[in-house]
Amino acid sequence: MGIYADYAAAAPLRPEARAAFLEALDAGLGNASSAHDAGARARARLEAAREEIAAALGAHPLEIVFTSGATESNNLAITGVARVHAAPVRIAVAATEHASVLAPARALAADGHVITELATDGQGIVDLGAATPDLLSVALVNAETGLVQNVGGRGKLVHTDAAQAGSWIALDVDALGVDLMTLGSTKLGGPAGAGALYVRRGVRLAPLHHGGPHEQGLRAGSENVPAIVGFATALTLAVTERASTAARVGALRDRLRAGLATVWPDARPTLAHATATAPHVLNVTLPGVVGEDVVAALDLEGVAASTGSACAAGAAEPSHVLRAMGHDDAAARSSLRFSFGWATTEADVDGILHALTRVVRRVEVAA
Amino acid sequence: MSGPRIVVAMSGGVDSSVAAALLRDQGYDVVGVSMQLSTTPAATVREGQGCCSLEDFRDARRVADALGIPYYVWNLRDAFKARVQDVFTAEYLRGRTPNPCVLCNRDLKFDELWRRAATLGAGLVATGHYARVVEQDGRWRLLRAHDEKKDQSYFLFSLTQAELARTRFPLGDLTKEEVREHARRLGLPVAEKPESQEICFVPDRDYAGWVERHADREELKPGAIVDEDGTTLASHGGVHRFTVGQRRGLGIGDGVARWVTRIDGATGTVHVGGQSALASRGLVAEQVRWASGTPTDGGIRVRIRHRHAPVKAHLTHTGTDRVEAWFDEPASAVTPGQAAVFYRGDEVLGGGWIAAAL
Repeated sequence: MGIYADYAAAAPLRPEARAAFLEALDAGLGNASSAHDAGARARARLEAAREEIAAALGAHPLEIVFTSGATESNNLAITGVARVHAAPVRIAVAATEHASVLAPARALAADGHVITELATDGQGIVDLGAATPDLLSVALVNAETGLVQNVGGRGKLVHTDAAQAGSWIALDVDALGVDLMTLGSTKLGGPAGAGALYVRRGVRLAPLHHGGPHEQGLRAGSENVPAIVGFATALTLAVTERASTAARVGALRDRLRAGLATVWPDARPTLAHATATAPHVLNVTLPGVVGEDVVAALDLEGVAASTGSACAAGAAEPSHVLRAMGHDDAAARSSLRFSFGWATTEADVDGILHALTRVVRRVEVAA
Repeated sequence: MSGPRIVVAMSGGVDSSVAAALLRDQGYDVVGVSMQLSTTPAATVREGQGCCSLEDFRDARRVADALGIPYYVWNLRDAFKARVQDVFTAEYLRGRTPNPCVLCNRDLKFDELWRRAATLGAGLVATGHYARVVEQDGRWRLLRAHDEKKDQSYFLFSLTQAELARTRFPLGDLTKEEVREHARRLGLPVAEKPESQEICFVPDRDYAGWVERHADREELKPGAIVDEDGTTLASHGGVHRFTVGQRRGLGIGDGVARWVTRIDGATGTVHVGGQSALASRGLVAEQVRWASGTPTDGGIRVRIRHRHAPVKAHLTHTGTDRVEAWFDEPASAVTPGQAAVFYRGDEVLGGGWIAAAL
């Protein structure tokens, strides 16, 4: 087995989440909307999961809308706020947001809504200026760099994409001051195919698609109950173990950063040491090297890492996050992201450093 | 997977797929890569044309899955635009007829392959080109493919000794039908995929239209179409619309058969004449590179375009990388911008870019 260091893309399935998922899968459940016993048992599991997730966020269960994942939750938040209003809506998003925030915002611009992509400083910290948009969306933890930002209370409505945050940062929606919050199962070690959008009571949204009255009328379609059950289990675990895991993973990240300085002195951490980050991401810039080459070379050494940005065909584009932070195209192509999580060990970090020693020698030959 | 590591450029077509399969079966540690060259990936989902469509990448990935080899996609769009597409446009605007496939092989494919293969720990690269590389008396020689109909050595003339030493062409001894049979035998999902022939980024073959979409209007070079005796027959909208040897689309309309014999990019004049005026006694080649040093004269043939039957020629070296090739028999439609590739027997001695007809 290789070394997995791409938790920010998808965390390995946690055994507890797997067990809960399989139990629900095999429990002979019906449609959670059905009136019979099989439906009622599905409904019971669904609502228990909703309560579990609400509790993790300090929210009311009816403020939790289940979706297929974080991308859908982001789309529902951005597009849902815009489409519920007849008049154009002013939406401000950080230029460093995930594509599932940026792309729906840009699509809304074509419908006449006013979209602002907020500039950031060199660390990716968003400059809010005097902006008072109808909706502000800034990720709690940036997926590529691990930067932590809390911008609660700054817009009329605040959305935060917390898909990367759940294992590391308290998600209390009142303390964070957010009206909408995105969560996804896979980043937490839950099964794929489940996510949630927290929607503060009183916030009106238009659904993305139409059908039955599921999920308070905001998300038509039968709920994916087994995945949701696994998702809730993974989130609860993440919350319970947050403090200890964050300390342990943060130490592993520091070990990698220190080791990198020795095996690859040219590799520079993309964020300054003093910048507030989640403990699981180390993004480094490799001057003069194409990040995707190093990702491929590490893959051949049995190490799964990432450039941080990906596209469907598999060929990396320059990172829009690093571009927004002021890096030029070449630098934005030369990033490498390691991200850790619940199962990462010290041996993994040492294995990564060993693999990098081999790769860096080849990079020097190639250059 | 204990053999040496080799990076195979995979296009998603049957040739490079079989090349990867053959190398795997020979015991190499094969790594597949595709190069994303097109600048508009979303618009390139199309059937069986060119390369770099999403369908082609999917095919390449499915072949890699079937072979059990790692596979990566390299994004070379910016480099392809700068070193191939922009050069293609500029050449047409100068009244020349470029050969982007040679440019792409020389300045992009192999260059990137060798450089980036090293990062992947591979000392060797391979492609699905129909050509052969053999080592003989301590020298690496580039040879024509066994299948003359498929021979692609013309596109590879600029490879140096060091480059040839690191390159494998597994299809060089096979015919196309044998390659397809291999693909069927291995159950590769691309066994019946049609050939791509045209320039990959201009699948509709409307090169003039492509140039007009990618050049500024003031860069176009309109001018006169002039007969052999100097008579102006018509005017035209730009030299990029013409190529030497072209007969159709001259816009004269008097029923007389005429061919483009020469294009003067500086004045915009397109010279036309009867078919006999297309014949040249030789050519001037520039930026000439030799695979194994300057060859001795004698027994040399020159190929002036892909699929052209090489003609006997004597060389006069008129500069460090400039050669005049004098044909034994006149050749038709010597076209500036195309490559002139020199052969002795099956061996590619080297080549350069055609600057003028003699």
